Amino acid sequence: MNDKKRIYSGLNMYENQIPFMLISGRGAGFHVEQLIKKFEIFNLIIYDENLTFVKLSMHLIDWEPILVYFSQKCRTISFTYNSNPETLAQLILYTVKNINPMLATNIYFFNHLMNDFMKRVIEEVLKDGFLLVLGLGFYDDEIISLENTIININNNYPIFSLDNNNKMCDIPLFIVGSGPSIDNDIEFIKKNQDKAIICSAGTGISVLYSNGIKPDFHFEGERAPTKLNGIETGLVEKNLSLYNKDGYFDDIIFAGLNVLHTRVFELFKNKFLFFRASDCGSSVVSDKFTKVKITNPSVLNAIVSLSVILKFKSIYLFGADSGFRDNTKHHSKDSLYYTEHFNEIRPQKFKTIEGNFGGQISADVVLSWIRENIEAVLRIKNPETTVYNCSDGAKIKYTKPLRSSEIKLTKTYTKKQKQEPFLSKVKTYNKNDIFIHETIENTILNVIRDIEVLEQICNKYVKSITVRELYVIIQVIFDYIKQKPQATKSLLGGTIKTLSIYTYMHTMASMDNEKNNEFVKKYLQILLDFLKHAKEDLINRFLQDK
Amino acid sequence: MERLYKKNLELFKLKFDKNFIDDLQQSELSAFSIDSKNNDVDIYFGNEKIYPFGAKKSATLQVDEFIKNPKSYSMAPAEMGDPLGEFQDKYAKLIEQLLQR
Repeated sequence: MNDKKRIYSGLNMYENQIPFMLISGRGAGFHVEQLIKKFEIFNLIIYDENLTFVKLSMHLIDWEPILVYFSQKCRTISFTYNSNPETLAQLILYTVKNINPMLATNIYFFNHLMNDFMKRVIEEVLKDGFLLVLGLGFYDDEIISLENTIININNNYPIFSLDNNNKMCDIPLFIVGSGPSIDNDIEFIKKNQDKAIICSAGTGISVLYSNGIKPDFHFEGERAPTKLNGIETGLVEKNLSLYNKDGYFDDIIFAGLNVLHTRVFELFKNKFLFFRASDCGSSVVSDKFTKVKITNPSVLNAIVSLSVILKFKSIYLFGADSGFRDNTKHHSKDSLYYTEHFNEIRPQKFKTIEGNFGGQISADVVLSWIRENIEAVLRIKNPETTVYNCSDGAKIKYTKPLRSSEIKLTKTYTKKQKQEPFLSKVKTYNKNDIFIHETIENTILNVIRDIEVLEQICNKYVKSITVRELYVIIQVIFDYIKQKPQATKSLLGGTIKTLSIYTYMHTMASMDNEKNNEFVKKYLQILLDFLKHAKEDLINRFLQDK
Repeated sequence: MERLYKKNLELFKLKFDKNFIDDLQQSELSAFSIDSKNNDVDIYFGNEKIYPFGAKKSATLQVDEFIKNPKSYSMAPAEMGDPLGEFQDKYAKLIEQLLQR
């Protein structure tokens, strides 16, 4: 899709309201003075390479009325600056995410004194803006995470957590996914399996199994029944069971995110769990345990994030294509998705990106999301860590493209040596040391109190809300949730944000104000229905016997 | 101008964090010159005039143009692929059901 097509004039503007405006920072500042007189701007980000022009404007205009204007409730003004356009775009998106990710869906630009740098920044913002509204989570998913985490902790599985002794690790690490290009590299992996730690990611294990290779570690991260392009492929457990024969799992160490169903852990003799950050399940776990950031949408993301914090010196990505040259060759010929569901899967082209080894690669939303989240992790990695992308798929920023034929490894390692970097951080803990002191019941009671506050807000406006009030009401709800503990953020935040974002996107895209006013009343009614359901469900699940 | 700058700086100190203020204060303006005339200002970067007209007039023209033709970007949910599309369909159905009540 060409981003340029999506920039147009005539976005619906209600009574001169502009929820979010992005202004290039070059200039004397008179335009800012004038814009707040003509429009009701709620959030303004002024961006530039540096603060020179801001300082200049401070000699020319009185900023007091502007700062007073943006001191009112639900209004923000931010200055973002960096000499690298990509970094600046990320800073802008980070600022937007902190205010309200929904704002990334509708942006007004005031292109004052544009130059190539500013244009590049806007291109980057538009390219990555969609990430802000993906992966926000939803109630049912978070409930699964909470219940599975409690069971997994009560089952006493060993837990991964970093300690103070976290040195660089010299042993090469192979991360193996099931992208189609893995078929070209499988012989290399087979020949070098004693020279690197092999970690399989999700269905990557099917490729290794089919080629007689045993990974040292196998990782899974999917909590719910796996669904791919609408096809129910069953629990991860069901998929894995296909390879659980002839002792294949016996000396593989299984690493699962806390959200996984306990039956998946039970398939393996040797296992550990690790916690993900910003998750409802992890919210009941003490912060002294490592909670790994950016572990979604694919388990590949979880392994990359974990490997980076474990300070591996050399990480090699295989079958991490994050795209496809031909949408009929979407996975490795040996993967479950290829052998069992080949005809049903047709990834949709969302964007075209540069190939890791040249040419152009297509990617759908999820594959783009996987790639962008890997990049988000690698952007801030330890500079001593080098990540080699050996996959003939999408180019991944902050990795070095390297064909497997060019990799020269000489040193061999024993199984024990290969297990040590992960297992030295894995211990069994007393469950009383794992859970936060607050009981689960107290956590749930706090969430219920938050539900009741949100119900009051919705009830107050459900009869009278019009599109004019929509932004402010959504922002008040978002700000309320933002200051609450992780359990509220996870259980309520994701669903409410997603519902709000879609309501906002649709009302901004439609010029029919009468219908839109009806639409936003229904939005608050649906929100109330959700809150009522969530309250009843939480009581039934966690408090009924209390 | 210096007085205005000092007043603004004090206000900025109340609103923004110390790192931002430090960066702001360290920003170098020596390449700029300002020529005030006819209730407007011309700003030069070296010998190059930044605005074709005075800074105020240029801002007014640009704001007037923005009022007539605001530049905006809107994310198109239908183009976002299956995960969002599926959600959107479900949501649309739910809204439809409620509207029929």
